Amino acid sequence: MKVKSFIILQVICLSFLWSCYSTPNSEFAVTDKLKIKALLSDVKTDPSIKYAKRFSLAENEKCRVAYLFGNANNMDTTVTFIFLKDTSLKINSIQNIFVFRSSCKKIASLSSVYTSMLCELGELSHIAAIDNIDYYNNVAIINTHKNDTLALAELSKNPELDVEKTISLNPDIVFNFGMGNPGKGPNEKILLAKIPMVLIVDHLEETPLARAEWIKFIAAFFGKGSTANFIFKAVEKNYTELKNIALQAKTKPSVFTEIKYGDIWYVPGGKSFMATFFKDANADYIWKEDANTGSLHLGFEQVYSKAKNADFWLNLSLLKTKKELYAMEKRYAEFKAYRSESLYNNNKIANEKGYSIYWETGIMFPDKILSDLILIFHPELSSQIKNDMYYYKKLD
Amino acid sequence: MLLIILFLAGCFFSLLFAGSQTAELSGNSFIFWEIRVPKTVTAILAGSTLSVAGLILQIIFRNPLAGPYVLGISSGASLLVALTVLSGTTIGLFNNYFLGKSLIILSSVIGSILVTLLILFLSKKVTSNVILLLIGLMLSQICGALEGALEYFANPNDLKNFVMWGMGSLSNTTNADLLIYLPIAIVFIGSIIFFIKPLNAFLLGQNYALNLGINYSKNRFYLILISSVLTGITTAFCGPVAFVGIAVPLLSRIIFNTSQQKIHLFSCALIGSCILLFSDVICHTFSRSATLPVNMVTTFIGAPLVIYLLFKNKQW
Repeated sequence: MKVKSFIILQVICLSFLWSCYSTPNSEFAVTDKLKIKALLSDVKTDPSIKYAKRFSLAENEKCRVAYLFGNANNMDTTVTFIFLKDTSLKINSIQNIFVFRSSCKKIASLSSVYTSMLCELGELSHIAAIDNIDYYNNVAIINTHKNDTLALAELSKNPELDVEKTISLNPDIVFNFGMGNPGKGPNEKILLAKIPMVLIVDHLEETPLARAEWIKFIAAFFGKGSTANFIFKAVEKNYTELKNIALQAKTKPSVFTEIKYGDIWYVPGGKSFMATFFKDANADYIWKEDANTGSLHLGFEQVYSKAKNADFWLNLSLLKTKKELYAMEKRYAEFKAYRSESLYNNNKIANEKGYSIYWETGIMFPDKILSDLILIFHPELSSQIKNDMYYYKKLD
Repeated sequence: MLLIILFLAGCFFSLLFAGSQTAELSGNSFIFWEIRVPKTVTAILAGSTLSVAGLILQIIFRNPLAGPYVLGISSGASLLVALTVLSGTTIGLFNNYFLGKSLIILSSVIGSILVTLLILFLSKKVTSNVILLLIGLMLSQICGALEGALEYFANPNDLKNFVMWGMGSLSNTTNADLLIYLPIAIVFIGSIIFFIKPLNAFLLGQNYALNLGINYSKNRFYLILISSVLTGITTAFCGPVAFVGIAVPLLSRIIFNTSQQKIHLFSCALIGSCILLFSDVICHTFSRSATLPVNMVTTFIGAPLVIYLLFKNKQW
């Protein structure tokens, strides 16, 4: 009897308590939804977005719109950002649709990639917070932080975002790296505080130019579309020219990348961003046949059997010398690239903590990376490339 | 009385000091009501649910080394949550808030129940408490390995959330989550009042309980269900929290030298809450800008206590 009454009591209590639960969905949200639908009915898509697949821009007389296709598994619109031209319009943000009345003046940029894009767009003075100063080589950012740590807060000293600090700062927009679910964990609380957060998913793009094109998405928040177009056009032009120069090479050297961490050797998939770089630099990436856009998780044996005779070995973590590489794993000496000293890393310019500028500006300027790669793989073409290497250097 | 003062002090420090330095509570009620309050309530709920679950397990197994974490029950919950989270996103199960949360809770509870039943079955085959503890640790390792395999193939988007969840966190709960967490915790902890008599009898063994006219297997089943729900719900919201479930009932027995389980039930809830409230404060004490994972602090408290007891009672 006792047990039965216990079960009945539990069911009654839980039913009563859950009956109090209701999803917040006011009549205002419904009205706003209708207004937004009407507002976006005649927007025209910006045809200048040629490479990126994870965002699109559109415009009509009353507003500019940025659509984010953020879900890793499909291409549905996950978040919409509306920038009103007519500020007299009374429309509020609703779930997954953020409405901005004016350009963002207080920015939290939680990746050095977006911070670099913001600086390039002339928005340095509006950056109020970054992720972690340890990742930066950007002199302007380092000096601003050094002079006044309050003027440029650090929000991600931890693996997790400092939610309280972010909410206290109350930025107009938070640009965050698109890992994780926007509705979970710290991000959920930021959204609850009605601070718009953009989970940028440029890493899901498959080509270097597609990732570089994300500067146009960021520019949309500040009405700087023309500046972004100007920057991107120059990058696109250089990249295309360099690609054509690389095609003149008579050899096609083989290349592999990365080192192993623990037992796993993470290498870029055959359809990845890095694989596209190698293809465009007219090099033979040893996993080019692979169909993955992300990374492959391999063992030493798998890499060795395929890469032992490869001509070049690139992107060796934070290493600077051949000695350091050998100290990590003596079997690395068995690779032909090690013996022929064809080892190049992307840390020509790095800060005290070892973080390279490659990770800050390389996404925005893929033409510079391609130029470095052509100089590495095809030194005979150096006469056609006017500059020295930007990011890469040979291991000492 | 001292425990109640400690509890109130824990609430006070957790509400006012366990957070980022720049958060000015006076000027920012959002931080207080939407971040600090849910975190403090979560610490109280997680501490009390895990401690009470640990107390029940220690009585059922008649083993002072039993606890949801060391017996692998939290890992079982964690494994099923991993399976749900890492596969559910793909088929869009988490687009609906309530459905998503309910699925996580359900999978966490089912994971807890499955491991508890397995441990219960194995406990009949072994007589040594230490061997049972080792079996629990092995089960925990197996769950961990399977979880690792799932993570290996997971989408990086889900993986980051899952890895952060696995570290144990009190601060990811929102007020909306508490509407689910709080009633379940209260109802299930409250329901143990119906089982005080069986619990007192279980402590003296199965035969004694049967002589008192207690339906041993039925009551044991309900108590396992309660402890699994308590462990499962906390694991669903906070991730696996280490050692609270084993250490708190032991502390309660050291403080209150009584066989009255009513007293231990109350004291476990209170001590568990205090430990997690102060753990939360300690997590924010070392560095204002960098927060330690709560599991690190609870392990520092729980693990030495278990080692001490293993040394003290060599007959285990």
